[in-house]
Amino acid sequence: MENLLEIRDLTYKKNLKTILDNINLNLQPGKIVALLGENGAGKTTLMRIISGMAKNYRGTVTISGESKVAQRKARLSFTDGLTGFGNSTKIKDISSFYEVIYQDFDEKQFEQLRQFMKLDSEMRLSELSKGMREKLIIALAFSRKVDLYLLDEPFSGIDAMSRKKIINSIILWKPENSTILVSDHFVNEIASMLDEIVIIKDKTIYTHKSTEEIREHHKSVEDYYEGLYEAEEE
Amino acid sequence: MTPATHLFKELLKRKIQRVNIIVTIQFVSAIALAFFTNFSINLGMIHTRLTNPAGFLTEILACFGSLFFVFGLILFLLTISQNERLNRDQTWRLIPITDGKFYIENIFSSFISLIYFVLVNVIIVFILLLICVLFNSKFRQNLGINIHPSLEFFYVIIVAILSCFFMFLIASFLNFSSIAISDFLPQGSNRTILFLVRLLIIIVIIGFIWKINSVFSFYDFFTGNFNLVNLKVTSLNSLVELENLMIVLFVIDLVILALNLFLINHFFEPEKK
Amino acid sequence: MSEFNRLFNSFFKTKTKNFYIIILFQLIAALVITFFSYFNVANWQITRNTENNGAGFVPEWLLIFGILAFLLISFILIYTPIHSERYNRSQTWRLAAISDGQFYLANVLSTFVVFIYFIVLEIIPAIVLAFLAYFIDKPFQQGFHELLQAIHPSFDTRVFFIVIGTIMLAILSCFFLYFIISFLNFASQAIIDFVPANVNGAITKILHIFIICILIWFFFEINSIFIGNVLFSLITKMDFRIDYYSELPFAVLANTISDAILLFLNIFLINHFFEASEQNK
Repeated sequence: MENLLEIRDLTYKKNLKTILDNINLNLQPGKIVALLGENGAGKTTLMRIISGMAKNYRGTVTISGESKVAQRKARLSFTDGLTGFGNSTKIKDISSFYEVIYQDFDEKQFEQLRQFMKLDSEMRLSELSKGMREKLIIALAFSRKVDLYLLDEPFSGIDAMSRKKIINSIILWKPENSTILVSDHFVNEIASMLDEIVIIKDKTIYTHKSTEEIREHHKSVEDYYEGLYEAEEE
Repeated sequence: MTPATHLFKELLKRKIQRVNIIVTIQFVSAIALAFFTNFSINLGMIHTRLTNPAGFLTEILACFGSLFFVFGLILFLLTISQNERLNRDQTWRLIPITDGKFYIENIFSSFISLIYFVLVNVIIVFILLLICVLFNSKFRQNLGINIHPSLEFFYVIIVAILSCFFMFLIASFLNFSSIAISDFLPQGSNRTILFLVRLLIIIVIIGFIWKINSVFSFYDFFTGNFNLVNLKVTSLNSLVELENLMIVLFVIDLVILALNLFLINHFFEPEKK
Repeated sequence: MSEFNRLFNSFFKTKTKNFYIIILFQLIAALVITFFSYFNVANWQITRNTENNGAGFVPEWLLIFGILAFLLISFILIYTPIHSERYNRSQTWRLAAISDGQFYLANVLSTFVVFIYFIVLEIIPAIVLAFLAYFIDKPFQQGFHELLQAIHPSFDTRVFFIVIGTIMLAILSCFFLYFIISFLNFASQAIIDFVPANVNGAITKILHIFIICILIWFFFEINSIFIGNVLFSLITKMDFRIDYYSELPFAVLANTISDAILLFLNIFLINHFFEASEQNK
């Protein structure tokens, strides 16, 4: 099967510091992949490189065979903090913007997700709590029909019950052949939906394994992940 | 990929909103400035040096015009800051378009918003000027304005626009009414019948216009005479005749529009596939 | 209201679909007609048509374009309302979620706007051709000056062109300011992204300002070398009819070139170096 995401020999430096070194990664279509690592490991940077936000890196990044930044952006949906909108912007205005700007935005899907997240379209950004804002971001991300979804700590700030509900529903929202790359610290909560995990450690891909493989040889994904860092400490 | 025009429209929408706010503040400032320059409050009474209430409008016009440069400069500086903020913003940089194109659209939309600011100022100054010319005879005298030739030109443009609409509306009326009539008749879909119905309607319309013309020629709405078929435009009362023609065309257009709306709502069906 | 706007926009897009092709064909047709009236083609040899002692090539092209424009505008005026009736009768369009009255209004208004739009589209190439004719053809230039004199006897063409030149310079200066601010922002940020991060925040800010000052100085140095020496000496070698020794045309030209260079630099920097800022969680 052709790879959806291909990263070859990726090295990224900033402020004379190597952030990511010699990253090689292939993701297949239709998978849900966790991107794990400590704080500052480079998870967000990797997502920013894939989405074309970070520049001046060495190596190649292709999504569905497309390496040009504009074409990659058309094939992915990145959880965006909505800083481009003023605080007085209403949710319905944001969805109108997405409808105009993104050709793949499904307004009906957004309506469904918005109602699922219990968000009122008349609410302004300034009226949303941190968790509500994160829910809106997820709703906007999944209202787009793209090949690759990049979710950067999407559940931070969301209450535990809503988090569980959203995690259980993500599989339903994602098109069958699309891939989700999610970075999150709540490993045990997202483990149930994962097909693969990718761990970034020491500025590179430390491991890329399927969850099936991990469960065969270890107790759980969380145990495996924590075990890596415990071994290091010892 | 996002079409460039969509992005441009969105950028321009946001920037124009800002321009509208700035122009509103400019207008309110002009009123305030005109007020405080010409009025004073002393012992609970408002005193003014203006002899004519219409003079206050002239003062607003002058203040508004002079504030153009101040607010223009402020807007320009704001657009510079906004440009750089948008260049750096992830929400906008995630849009599926090359960064170079995004940058060009950003700068160009800022420039267009400046042009829009100038245009809005010109329109407001023009409207204020028009009001001052119409209501302030001293102002008119001082400017030595003979409004006759420019008004004539303005009226000619209006008549041209109304004539355009007349043509569009009459084409629709012919289409709607002929189809509506033929839908009533047996064998109405027959091309010959449709042609005859249309011919009949054209004759009726011409007759109606002729009748309207002869009816109006009995009445003097204003001071001049006019004749739709043989328009006599004399230099002495051409302005009045143009005004009459404008009004008649406007009324005819409205009547035909109302008829067309009635016909399309109640009779004119789309064709079956 | 939004449904009305959407319908109006769809009408406008559909009705203006072929306009650009029409204008292009009109330009080419006018060029071909001008060519064959200007030149004789016989036995694969092109010779100047000596019977044609009229205007220059470009002014004639402009004239033919104008005549065709007049014919096309008249045609569009009659054709578009008749063509628009098709939409009133079309089930596909009438199924739009809007009352028939509003549908009809959207159709009529869009027909009118489309007509005005076509006139504007005709004017733009005409202006471009007129500019070209003015700069290339001396008799045309002279004729244009005489026309301005005839319209207003005390019309001073020098003042007229100074006003035009000043407006152009104002527009170019506006773009220049936009581009230079962006350039300073992009270039300084790109440099800052290279320097080590483990310096004090305040020092980074001072360093940023210092880099901007260096870039400003560098820009002015390059500017004076390029504009003052290279461009000026290049211009003096060419012989244009317009007096390039006077300041305004030279300023317009220099500004245009500076703007173009800055624009390309900025596009390069934003494509390869200037990142979107990270959003803090």
